[in-house]
Amino acid sequence: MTTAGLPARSGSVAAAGALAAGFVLLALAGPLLVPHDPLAVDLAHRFAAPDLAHPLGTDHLGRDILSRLIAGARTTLGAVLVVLAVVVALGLSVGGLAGMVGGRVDAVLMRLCDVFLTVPTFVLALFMIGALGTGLVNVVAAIVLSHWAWYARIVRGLVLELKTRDYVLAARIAGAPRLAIFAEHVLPGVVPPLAALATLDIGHMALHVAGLSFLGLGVQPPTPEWGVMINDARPFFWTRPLLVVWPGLAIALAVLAFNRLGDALRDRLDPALVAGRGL
Amino acid sequence: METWREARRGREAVPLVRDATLELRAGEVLALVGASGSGKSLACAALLGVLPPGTRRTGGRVLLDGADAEPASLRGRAVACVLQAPRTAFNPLRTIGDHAGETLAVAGLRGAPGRAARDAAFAAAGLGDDPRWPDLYPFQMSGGMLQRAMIALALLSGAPFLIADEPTTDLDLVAQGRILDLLARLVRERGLGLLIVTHDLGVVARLADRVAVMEAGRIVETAPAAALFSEPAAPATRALLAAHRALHEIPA
Repeated sequence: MTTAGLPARSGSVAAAGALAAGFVLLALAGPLLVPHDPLAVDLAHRFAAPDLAHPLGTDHLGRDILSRLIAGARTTLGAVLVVLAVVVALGLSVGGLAGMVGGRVDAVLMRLCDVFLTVPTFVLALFMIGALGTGLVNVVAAIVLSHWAWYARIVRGLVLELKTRDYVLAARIAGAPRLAIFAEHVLPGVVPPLAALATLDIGHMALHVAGLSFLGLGVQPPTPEWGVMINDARPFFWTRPLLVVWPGLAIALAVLAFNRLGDALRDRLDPALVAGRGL
Repeated sequence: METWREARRGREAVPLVRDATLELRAGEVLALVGASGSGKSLACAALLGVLPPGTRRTGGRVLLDGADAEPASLRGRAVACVLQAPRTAFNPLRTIGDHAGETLAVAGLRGAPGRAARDAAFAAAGLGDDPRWPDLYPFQMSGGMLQRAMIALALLSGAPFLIADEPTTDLDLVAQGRILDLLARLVRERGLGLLIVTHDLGVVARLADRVAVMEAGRIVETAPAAALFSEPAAPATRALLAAHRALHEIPA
């Protein structure tokens, strides 16, 4: 029985939701919440132990770690939000066009997707950054270019399935223009699974942003970003391991929270999947 | 007099419908009968340019008032359609009012005149009593009500011709009778040209002026309804009649 496991699972969903909401709040209201300027260097207080003024201590330049973690939420999650918005928009337009028009347009667009799908995303992102150069904007562009084709493929598949519905045929016979049919009858069926997928991908994309920044390819110091913070703390790992632990913990918690939330959303929005699990 | 014809539709390698010519006049009910798979629905889909994937039109013409017409240009303007399964012909996420709005947009009607036309069409289809119907979702309505709503949308489009593809197959007997009465009344009062696709000869006897019999993708016989029942010419027609009489235990 699938229902037997639900109460325990919904508890973890509530925790994940609260955690994710907390991260979003930090990203939105970060500048109002930080106890110190995340960029303020204070060499007199390098590696300060946690106290009331600096609850998580200071780093190798005397910057307040808590403030940098809070400010980092905005950098990382903001970048992820932009990536997702562009990827979803690209996926909807390319996948929607391919699915609705079909024929040669579909073939050309899907072969284009195949080109992007043949290369592993991280390798493709590295290649893009090699070509474009480092920096936050280029990281966003690289992650978009390495992920949009997945979304386009999924949207196309959903559109092809929804297109066969009787009510779409009825709308066509009623003379409705193709764009109106897409907006009124196809899009409402595409959005829920796409929303679940996008939520699941927040953690994945955050790992990309932080990972590339950790490698020195993404966000550049001194901008507060979790991957940058880990990289900054790397030389002091053996003496001050907590400097690595705090941003690492932030990344891990954010990824876990958004993944759990996305999982729950998919369970709710994709009844076929849940039914399949029950068998 | 408005007429349309069609002929020779087919698919690569396997022709599915060919040598099928139908003429439909305003104010007349033409029944298209035949066994399942004889190509009745496909002929209608070809007429409207909505052939299912894997099939395509290789020839034939559609004449509207004697002039060549593109299938896509007929949709929602010259020809409206009532589909077989009312349950699936409405988007479950949209209200009946939303569906009516879509038809009005095609007809180019907006605002108060649009709402008035909508209410008039739904009243004519027998849904006028309940003021809440525009806010109803398809799952809140019975099959008969949904079929009435589909007929109302067809009326709303203002199309002079109506194709009803097995409009009563998915309904219970009481609802069937009422829907057939409604269609007959609309043909009489509004001068609609109705093409009713069916395999039920009871429907034909009740409604049709003329009957076209289809077998294996061809029209094998076209005759006035009374003549078809008294003197069936084609073997396919005789087989259909015999099957009908056997089912309903009517002596030949």
